[in-house]
Amino acid sequence: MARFLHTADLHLGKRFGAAPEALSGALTAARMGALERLAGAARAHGAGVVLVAGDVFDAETPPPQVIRQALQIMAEAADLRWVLLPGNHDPLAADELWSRARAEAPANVTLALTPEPVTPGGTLEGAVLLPAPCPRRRPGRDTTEGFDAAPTPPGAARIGLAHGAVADFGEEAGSAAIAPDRARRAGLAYLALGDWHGQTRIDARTWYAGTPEPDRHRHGQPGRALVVSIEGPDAPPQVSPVETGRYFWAERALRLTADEDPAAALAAALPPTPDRRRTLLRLAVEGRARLPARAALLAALEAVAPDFALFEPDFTGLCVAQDAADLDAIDRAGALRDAAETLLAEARDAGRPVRERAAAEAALSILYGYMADAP
Amino acid sequence: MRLRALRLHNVRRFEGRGVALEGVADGVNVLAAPNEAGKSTCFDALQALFLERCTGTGKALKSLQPWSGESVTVEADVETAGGLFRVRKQFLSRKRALVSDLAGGGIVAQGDDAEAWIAEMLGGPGAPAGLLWVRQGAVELGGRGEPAPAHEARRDALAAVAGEVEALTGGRRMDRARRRCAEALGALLTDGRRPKKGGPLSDALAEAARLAEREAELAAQVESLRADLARRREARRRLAEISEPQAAQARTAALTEARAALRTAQDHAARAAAAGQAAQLAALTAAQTARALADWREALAEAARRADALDGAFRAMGEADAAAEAAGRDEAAASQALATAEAAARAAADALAAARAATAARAAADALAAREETLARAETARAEAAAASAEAAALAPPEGVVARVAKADDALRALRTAAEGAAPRVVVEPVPGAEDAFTVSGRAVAPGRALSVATPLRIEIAGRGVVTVSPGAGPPDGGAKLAGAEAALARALAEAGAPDRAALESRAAAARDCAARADVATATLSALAPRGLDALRAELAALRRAGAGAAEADEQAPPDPDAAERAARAAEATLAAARQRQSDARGRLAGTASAQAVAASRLEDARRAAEAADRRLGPSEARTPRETALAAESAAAVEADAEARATLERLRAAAPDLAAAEAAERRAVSAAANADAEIARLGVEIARLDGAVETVAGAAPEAALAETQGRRAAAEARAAALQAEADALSRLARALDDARAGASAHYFEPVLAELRPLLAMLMDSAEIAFDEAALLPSEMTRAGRAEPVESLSGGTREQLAVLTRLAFARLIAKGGGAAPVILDDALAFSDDDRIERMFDALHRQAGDLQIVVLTCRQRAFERLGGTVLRFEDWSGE
Repeated sequence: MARFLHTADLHLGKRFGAAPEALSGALTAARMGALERLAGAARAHGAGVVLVAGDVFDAETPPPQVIRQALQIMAEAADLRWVLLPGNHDPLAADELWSRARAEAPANVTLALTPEPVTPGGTLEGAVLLPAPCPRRRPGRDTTEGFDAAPTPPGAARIGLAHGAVADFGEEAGSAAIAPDRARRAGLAYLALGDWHGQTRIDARTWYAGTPEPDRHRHGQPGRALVVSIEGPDAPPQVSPVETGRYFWAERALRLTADEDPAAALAAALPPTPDRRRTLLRLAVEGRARLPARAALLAALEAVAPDFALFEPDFTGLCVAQDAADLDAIDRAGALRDAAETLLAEARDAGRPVRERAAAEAALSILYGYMADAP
Repeated sequence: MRLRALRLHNVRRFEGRGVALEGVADGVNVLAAPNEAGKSTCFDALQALFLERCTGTGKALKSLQPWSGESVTVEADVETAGGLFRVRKQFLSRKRALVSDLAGGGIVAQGDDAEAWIAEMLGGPGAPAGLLWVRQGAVELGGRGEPAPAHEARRDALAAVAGEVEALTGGRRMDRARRRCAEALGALLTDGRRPKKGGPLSDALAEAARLAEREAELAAQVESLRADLARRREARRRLAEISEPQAAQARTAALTEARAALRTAQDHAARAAAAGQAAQLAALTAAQTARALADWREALAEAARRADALDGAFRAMGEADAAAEAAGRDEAAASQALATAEAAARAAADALAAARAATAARAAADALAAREETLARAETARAEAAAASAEAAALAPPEGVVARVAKADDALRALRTAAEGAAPRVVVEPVPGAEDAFTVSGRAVAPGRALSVATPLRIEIAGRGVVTVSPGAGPPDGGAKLAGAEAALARALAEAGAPDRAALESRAAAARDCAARADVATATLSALAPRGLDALRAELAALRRAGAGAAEADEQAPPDPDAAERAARAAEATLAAARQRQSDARGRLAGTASAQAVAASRLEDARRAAEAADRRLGPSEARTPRETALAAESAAAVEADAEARATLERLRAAAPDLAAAEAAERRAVSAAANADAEIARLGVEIARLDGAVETVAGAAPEAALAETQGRRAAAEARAAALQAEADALSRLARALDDARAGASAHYFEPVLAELRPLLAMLMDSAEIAFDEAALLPSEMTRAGRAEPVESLSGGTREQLAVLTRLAFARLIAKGGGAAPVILDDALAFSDDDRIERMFDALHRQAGDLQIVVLTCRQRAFERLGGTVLRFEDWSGE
């Protein structure tokens, strides 16, 4: 029986300039830390081999210390064999990267830099690995075509290792399309894919492992890898997700109605407190809220924001609910009331450009804020 | 609130003392005092009491302190709805605030409570009040010089009289909203609505721009790195391609093949070159044999010509010999004639020489004679000189004796003359015809002549007798002097050896003549024998020796020299002609001899040439066979030449293309060298790219670029958010401004209602527009013409300022918060007419107001009326 850990898209060395400086460093460090978490997961599930299906590194020329430290961590996990495949971010064309890696790779690291079959041994004893390294950032062809005719010893489990989009499934436009039925066509026991950062099953034998440490809000999953067990060349693989992520990139929607208590709704929408400091939350506030509710919401958001590694509320989906009583808080009559009503009307005027409406609504909200706490 | 008293201690000019204004009444109060009396000090102290905290340290407070420092105390009694209170504050030192109840006597509040009590009294909620100040010369209608609360007091006045105004305008809530909005907006944008430098929006935009710039730099670095990586990949690929063993072998094989082909072509070319040389040799041989044949034939012809020439030379030789013989004869005759002429010439020359010698001998004899004469004269001169010298020596008296004789004689004569002068005079004057009758001492007498009688004088008169006249005894010493003088003369003459002075002087003159003669003789001798007599004698001896020969020659008959000269010249001419003739004859003889030699030489040459030609040709019997052999040899050589040329043509026709073979070889060599060079170049290029890649990749520009992109996006998002906030704030500011402007008419209506009757007291039909911010007049319209307040006259502006405050004060009073109006020299510019009307206006408004007028125009304000206030001393306790 063959057992291994399938992962991909480590993007080691990736920087997060848009994030605050302290968080940016932590996110970069968390990616390097994923290697240790992957090693731990592999050991915990009895997998002696870790297959990385491309994008080990984020760039063609990552900082030398990133290469060095990654290889050192792998070397320290000496009980494991690491098989590294070039992806579209670190293709074969990145010869500076791969020549450095070749020079510095420890004995337990296999660089799958050619499409030649590899027999990693260990918990993959008896299985043959068919790698399809990405030659360039955009190969322009299906790199797994060669799998179909690749000769392997009789009875050996054929395991494909590739990086790229299946059909129109890629992370980046213009990526080479891998035939979705490549596993069937090439007689593969399992096709380990990388590129898509969300863990995804294409068919029983074809999986994207997803990234072990998320780097964006898009997928809404925690960082994961796959533990794969193969009983025999024809037996369906046993595939089990394992969590490996340090940070959680969450997107939540807070839908408000005019009568709802925004603070309560917010509390319900947010993750539990212990997870928050490792969460980068993007909160889309939608629906309608009266001015007091909006002010209360802003106060609640302000109060809860420091809980999170990053907290990004988005109010573009929130409309002001029209209520004369709310305007009374600004003034019951007179010039202030006139100004408030003018702004409200402008915010609700569908004939106006979005920017003007937004400015009017924000102006009204500001005015309410000024007046709510004024004598 | 009403002010009842004001007291100050240690304030500015009231240093170390107190002053008080007591008894301030309702209505109009006037404090008229000259400049520097302290009116403005009161004004400022009152303002500080109500508006500054006792703990304050601001400029307004410090300006109250006198030079000596110390604590400043201000106290006021005020009456409010709650009663009569005393408010007291000490500033700057021993700071304290205290409010006490004058009715009950207890302390109402102190410290912060007192400050709060005052604030409440001035403008607390529900009781808007305050002080309305019009500063000295306060024509600005607000702004500078106006305490901040005055503005709020004006609005509170409005609110107090018109309950709906607050609701209408938003009142202080509107102000707060506008202020907060303006503050928030001011942090983001400038007044011109551009991002404010140093503000968050400007910073975010600047950071985004800076990051975009950095991003571009990094993108360029990444691009450059990728390009270098691509170049290195290509270089490595190309190096591998060139260095591949098969490719190297192919290059070597091509080179070997090209070199073999070149060698073949070069060998063939060498053979062709050898054939060419052979052909050249054959051509040369043919030419040589042809020339040998021609030479032989030419030699035969030459030998024949030489034989003819030898005959000619023989003939010429004979002719030359004959000519030489004739010339010899001519030369002999000429030589004979020359010998004769030479003899004649010699004879003539001898004759001429003899004649010349004779002439010379005569000249020498003459010279000898002259010298002998000279010698004789010289010797005579010398003898003369000796004789004259001797004579002179003999004659010459001893040195100085002549002078002494002369001196003694002169002395004697003088004595005698003197004696004669003293002697009697005798004059004989015979009658005519009797002269001869008288003789004196034997001599004829000169008639009429006085005769001195120094000695006895004997006058004989012929025929008559003798008269002797004797001198007297004379003076007693006269005889001695004369005798002494005569003795002296006698001694001197004896020394000279002369009888008398005349003889002595005659001898001395003779001696001088002899000396002169000796000089002349000596000079003559010198002229005749300048080098001495011996030299002259030697010269004469030489001449005599020379003249001995000549004397001999002279003995022969001397020929005529001129004739001898002529004869000699004729003989020379004859000799020259003879010589010429002989020379000519010899020339001709030499010419014939030369012609003989030439002819002999030519004959010899011709003979030798003829012999040489014969020797070259050899024996005559062999000459024909030799010619035949040479002709045959030449024909054979021509044939061999043709054959060699044919061979050469054949080789040339079959030659491979050497240039092409060379080019092919060059190309193969070049290709191999190029490959080597490219390998080397690629090695260098790869090394260079390794360095460049390592340097740039080491800095990880891709990662830096990704990070910079993220940071730029974040900065842009931040800028966009701030811009949205600025948009919202701008929109809010505009909405608030618009709303307030809409309400402004209502807002100011109560003020205008108060102001209009006051204005009417000063001018007809004037309308006022208010500035919404300052709540003060901004524009006045008279007779349909609007004027900005700033362009009004100073007087009109100050009147408007005062009336506006009065209007507001009335509003405040109507609201129950009666506020004192304090006018500090506020009518400085008003003319007499207007000031009267202003007094009326003040009293009109003073019905339910308290107005305190501070003025330095004591006379002008006498007519104001009201309660007069005066400074009183105050202990400060």
